[in-house]
Amino acid sequence: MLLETLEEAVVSFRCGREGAANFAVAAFTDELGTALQNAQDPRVVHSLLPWLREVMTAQEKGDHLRVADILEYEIAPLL
Amino acid sequence: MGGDEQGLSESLGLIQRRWPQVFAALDEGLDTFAVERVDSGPEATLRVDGLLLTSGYNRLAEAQTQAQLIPDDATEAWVYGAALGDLPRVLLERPQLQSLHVVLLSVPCARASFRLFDHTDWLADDRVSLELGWEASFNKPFAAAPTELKVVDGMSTALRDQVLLELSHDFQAEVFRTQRKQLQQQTEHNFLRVASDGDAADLFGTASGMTAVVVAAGPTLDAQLDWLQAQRESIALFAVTTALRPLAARGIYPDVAVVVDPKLAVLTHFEGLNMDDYAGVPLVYVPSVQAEVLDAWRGPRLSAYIGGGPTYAQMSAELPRAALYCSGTVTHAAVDLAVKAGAQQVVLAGVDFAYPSGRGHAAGAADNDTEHVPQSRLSVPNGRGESVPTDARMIGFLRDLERYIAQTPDVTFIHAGRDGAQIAGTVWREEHDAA
Repeated sequence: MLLETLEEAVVSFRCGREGAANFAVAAFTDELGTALQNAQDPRVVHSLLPWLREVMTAQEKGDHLRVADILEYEIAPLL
Repeated sequence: MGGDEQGLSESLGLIQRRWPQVFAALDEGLDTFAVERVDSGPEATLRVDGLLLTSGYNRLAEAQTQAQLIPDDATEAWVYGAALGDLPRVLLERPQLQSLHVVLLSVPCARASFRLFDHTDWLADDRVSLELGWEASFNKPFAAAPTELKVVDGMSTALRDQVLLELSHDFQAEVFRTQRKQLQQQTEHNFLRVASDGDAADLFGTASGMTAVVVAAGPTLDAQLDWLQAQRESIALFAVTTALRPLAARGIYPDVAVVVDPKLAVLTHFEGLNMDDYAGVPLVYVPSVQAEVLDAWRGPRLSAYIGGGPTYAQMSAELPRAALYCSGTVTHAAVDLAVKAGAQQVVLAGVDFAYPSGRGHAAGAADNDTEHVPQSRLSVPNGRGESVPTDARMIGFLRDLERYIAQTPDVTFIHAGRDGAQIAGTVWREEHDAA
């Protein structure tokens, strides 16, 4: 579910469907928060945090292909 | 997919031979924002005005994703934004594709791309036609380079907007579909209120031949309040509820208030107001507005329907009421009400469809968000010919209002507030007053 939502965000950003992408990012953030609360290994959280911060920075700049890159190629492999 | 020096010069040489008009535009255009090559990631790309033009990890995979928007059996297709040429390359691998129109949306972006990356392979393909955004039209099937939509040339914004609206169509339809059930429940909940309240059609003809001012709560309203105060006795004033607080702060009360928003948050529009001051002001509402909002209004209530969809189908059959035009924003409904009230001239105040100075609302408005900065990085020209930040939702509202205005030739539409988005079909208030 988490990866499906992430993929929805990535595909939507890459195709220019910004509304759908932002909706998916919000859903992904919620789902990830829940997943991390239940995470057994704290190293997963530590490895994700810098990338999540970069997603937020890129999102604030409207740099959506950078957001897609981080989600797809940095965060997804960690999940 | 990078290129050697020969390939780089050949890209522009090919364009000069095949599309001299495009080459001239590339040659003469000004660099209006910074463009830099980025080699720090797994794949080289460009950063344009601070935004990645393509993926910096896997451009081919990204282009393949974008290409899925175009059916496999398409014989003709359009690409809006050449980016680094990856999407045209992927599409040209399809043998059944006979014609590919690649439309350049940003001259500075295209010039840097053709200078810094090799495009000769796809530019040499006989099936390709290269077009300038301001000379091209919107066609389907299509796919787009999303970043180019954000750095579009000023003359290509109309085409950009059509691309954006089409890209957002399915999502908006899905949002509306999921909201419909709740809207229908709220509508049914208000049945007795609608049955006992008046009909907004009672206002039709009440401003015949007059100047009506439609007041929304955009940031430029701040600068219109003195003028509104001075004109108040001679105008018919139609205000959306978001604008009530800035108006009341100057002692201005509308002739009619309008609300269509189904959210309970509309109650915040009334916070700090003495609702008894509105005892003589009709509230025009649609039946999906929250009951708590309707019950908070002290003045007469008049209902109307918007849209032709199923939300109000059953109720409108039992309780016929006025129908108002509304394509997503209460401003549309207020404008249509002013027109149906018979106004000869409609002045739009605080109708900005943009975020001038990064603000979303007039000072003192409910939902005031003076720190709001849209993340979309989209812009439209304002009344001074400058770019003003906006977002896709506002662009949709703007273009729909422009279509409405074009279809209402008997009314003069006047726009106040040059820091907001230009609205086609309107004249600026200062120019109208001077004439």
